[in-house]
Amino acid sequence: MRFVANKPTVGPSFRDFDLSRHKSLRTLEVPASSIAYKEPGFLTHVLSTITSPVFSEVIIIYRDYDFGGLHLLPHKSVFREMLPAEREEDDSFRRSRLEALHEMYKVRAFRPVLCADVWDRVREYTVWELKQPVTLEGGFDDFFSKLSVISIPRGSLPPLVEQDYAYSVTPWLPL
Amino acid sequence: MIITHLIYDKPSLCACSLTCYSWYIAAVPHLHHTLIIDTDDPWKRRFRWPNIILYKHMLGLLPLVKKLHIIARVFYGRGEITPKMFRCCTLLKFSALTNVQELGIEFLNISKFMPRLRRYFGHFLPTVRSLALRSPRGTHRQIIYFIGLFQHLQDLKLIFNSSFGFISKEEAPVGDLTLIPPFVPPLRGRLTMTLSRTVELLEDMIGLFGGIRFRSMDLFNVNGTRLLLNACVETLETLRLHQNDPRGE
Repeated sequence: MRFVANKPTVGPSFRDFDLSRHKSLRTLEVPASSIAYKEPGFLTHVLSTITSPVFSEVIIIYRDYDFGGLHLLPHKSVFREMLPAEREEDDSFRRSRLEALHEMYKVRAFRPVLCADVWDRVREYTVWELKQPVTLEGGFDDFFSKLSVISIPRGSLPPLVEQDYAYSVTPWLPL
Repeated sequence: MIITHLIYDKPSLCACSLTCYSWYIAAVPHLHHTLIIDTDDPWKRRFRWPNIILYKHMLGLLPLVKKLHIIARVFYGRGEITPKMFRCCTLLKFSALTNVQELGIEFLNISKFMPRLRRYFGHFLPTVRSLALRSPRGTHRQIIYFIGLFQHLQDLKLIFNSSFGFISKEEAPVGDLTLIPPFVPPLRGRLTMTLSRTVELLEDMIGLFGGIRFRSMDLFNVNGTRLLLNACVETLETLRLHQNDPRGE
C-alpha cells in the first residue's frame, strides 16, 4: 500500500481567520512562545475581526519550556539556574511579550491573563515568576491593573520535548 | 478530603496509600489514573509490551486507569501500532482497561486494523471522552470511521506529521467510500489540530457527522481553518492561535 506524503501546500492565510460571525467567542488563547516578537500583526488582525459581545479575555499560555533551567530540589522546592545574560534575555522576552499584548489591547480592550500550564511540581514557582513586576516605559498603567495570573494543574509529566528544555533532570517517572 | 489536595503529588499519594487501608482505597485511584506505555525500540526483533501492563493486570489495577497514552517511535516504517502487536494474551490484559476516558495513540496504522477495529478497541468505546491520535495512518474514511466508533467522544486531537501521510485515493481499498461511521459522536469539547495539509478529511468529517460543534479549538498550520471556524460559528467559545504559524506571520 502506498502512502501520500502530507506535503506542504498553500496553508491558511490571514483571511481564513475571520471571527466576525462567532457571536459566542469569549476567549482567545495564545501560547507565550508564539508571541516572542514585538510585531503581533497576525493576532491584532484576528482581534480586529472579533465582533462577539461576550468576548472578554486573552490568555497567554506559558508551558514548561518557557521556563528553562528549572532544578527540582528536595522538599518540593524549585530553583531556576540562569546566567546573568540569560536572565537579561528572559526579561527582554517578557517585556516584548507584554508589549505585544499591549499592542493587541489597543485594537480591542480585553482582560489580559497570564496562565501557567505547567507540571504541578513547578506550578507555584512559575506563578510566582509570572507575578514579578516588569519595568515598561509609559502608558501601561491601565493595562497592568487588569493583568491577572492563573494556573492549570497538570499532574502528568510534560511531553519529552518540554522536559528536555525545562528540567535539569527528570526526578520522577510515571508509575 | 486531604487526598484530593494531593492528586498531582505522587510521592505523597504513595505515602498515603501505605498509611492505612481507608487511605489506600482513597489514594489508589489517583495513583493509577494515568498509564503511559512506551513501545520502546522499533528495531527490536520481537516486540514485547512493557511489563508494567502485566503487573497492573495481575494486581487488578487496570480498571483504575482513566488516561491511557501509547507512545510509539517510527523509523523507516518500523514501530507503528499494528494488530501484530496485540496477541491474545495482550488483548486479554487490554480488555481490562474498561474505564479509560482519555485515550492517546501515536502512529496507529488504522488501515491494518480494518475491518476488525472493535476486536482491538471495543472495550474503550463506551467510556472514552477524549481521543488523541498522532500521525494516524489510513484513508480519510478509515480515520473518520475510527473516530466514529467512540460514541461519547467530546474532545479530539489530531497531530499530523509532514513525513507521514494518508493513503492515496488510488490505493484506497475497495469499498472505502462506503465506510460510514457507526455513531455520530457529540464532539462538543475541544479540537486540537496540527499540521493538517488536507481539507478532504475535514470536509468528510463535517459531512459524515452532520457538522461539528466544538466549543474550543487549537489550530496550528491547518489547511481548512476557515472551514473549521465556519462549522463552529454557533458554538466556538475559545480559540487558541499560534502567532508563529508559518502562515500567520
